[in-house]
Amino acid sequence: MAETYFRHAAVKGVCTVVPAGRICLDDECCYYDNAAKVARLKTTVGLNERAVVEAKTTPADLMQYAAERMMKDMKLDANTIDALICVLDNPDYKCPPTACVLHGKLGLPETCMAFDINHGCAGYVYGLNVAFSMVESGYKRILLLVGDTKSTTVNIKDRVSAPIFGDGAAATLLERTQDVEESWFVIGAKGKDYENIMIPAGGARLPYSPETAKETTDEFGQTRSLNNFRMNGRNVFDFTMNVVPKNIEATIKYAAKDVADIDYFVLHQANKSIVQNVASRIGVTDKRKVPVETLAKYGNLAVASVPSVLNDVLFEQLQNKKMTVLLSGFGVGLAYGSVILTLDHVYAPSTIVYEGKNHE
Amino acid sequence: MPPQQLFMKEKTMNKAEFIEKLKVAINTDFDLESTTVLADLPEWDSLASVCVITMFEDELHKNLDYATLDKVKTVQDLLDIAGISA
Repeated sequence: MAETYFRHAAVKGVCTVVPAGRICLDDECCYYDNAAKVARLKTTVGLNERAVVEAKTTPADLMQYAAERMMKDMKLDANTIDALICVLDNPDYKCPPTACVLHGKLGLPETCMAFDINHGCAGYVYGLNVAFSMVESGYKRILLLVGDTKSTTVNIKDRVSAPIFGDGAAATLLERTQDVEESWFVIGAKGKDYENIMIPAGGARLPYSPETAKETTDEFGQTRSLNNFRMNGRNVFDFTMNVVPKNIEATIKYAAKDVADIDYFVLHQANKSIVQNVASRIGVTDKRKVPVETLAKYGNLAVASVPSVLNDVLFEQLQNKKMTVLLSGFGVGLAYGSVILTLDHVYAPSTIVYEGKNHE
Repeated sequence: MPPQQLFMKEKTMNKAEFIEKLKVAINTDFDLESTTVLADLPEWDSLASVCVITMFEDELHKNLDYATLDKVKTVQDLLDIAGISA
């Protein structure tokens, strides 16, 4: 696992946006044998409602909305931003990068670098690590945008993935600090297991075709095409339980801290049993320190799920206090990573509902 | 820095306690015996297996994964993994 340490970079703002649309699991009983199964899914996996975009709204639309809101509220001069990083795996175009499209739409200056990172559930921590490295080496102000609209890539008849994921995006502002602000990252990937979470078709390896659009039903009764997102839930569960507690432990040790030093453990909201099992494994007994509430409200927001916890559950503390938090992401790749950092009176509004137009 | 003990130590319980916890995890009213075959229970499904994994985590602080659970046939197999003898 790669360990990196920073002394002059800090998160100054974070803003999460979700679409207004909701699908409730109670309205999807037709996909299950009986209502009791739906009730058990709600208590065990923690599902209830999930946020879904209207047709034609893309991750980039949500990301732009989050960035504009943050820039307006923080009265940011666009000319002071010297890098824009977008983390997503569902870009508006195969070329150019979404970051370049949004660079134009947000009115960023020519002096501002713009690029994408193709990542999913571990992507927020990956993006932060890249941004922190850049700030430490001279960039002064970086805008990090993350977003996904999984509801548009899953098959509604695939009950492994469809009921879990919601749509959302987040903007984060990072700045170089004069005072010492320490942060510790421990990051890793297990690329040999990449096939456990993927969209097989649509890339150079397997372009979209009438053939890839054909739906098939697997041995567990789940229906999807090669154009759809797919996940081997069992293997991903095992991966998570084998890797994430160790990664979190390694991060705490690298920072020479103790579980008790961490005010909040903000884990990727994969599902309730995963978050609670990881919490139990690392020995956090106070459940309030490991929030899991956003899952039932918005679903698993993939790359935006870690910031959604910050804005939905911890926004008051973030605005009014200085806190030590551990953020941890894991998923697509299969990739994982954690960071311990200080969040000191940051701009963090409660989760915002997207009211943008559907862009053509 | 001395090494830190972050992970909680494994816990144990007796057979009767284990079976009671297992009934709750699987959400079944059937009386479970050592010889009960899990797949024969109408409630045994993917959700029940997640609940059993969670029960191992919460009640025994033991990591049970799907790869191991796939080989499990009877309640006795689970007792063996939990390290609980009669």
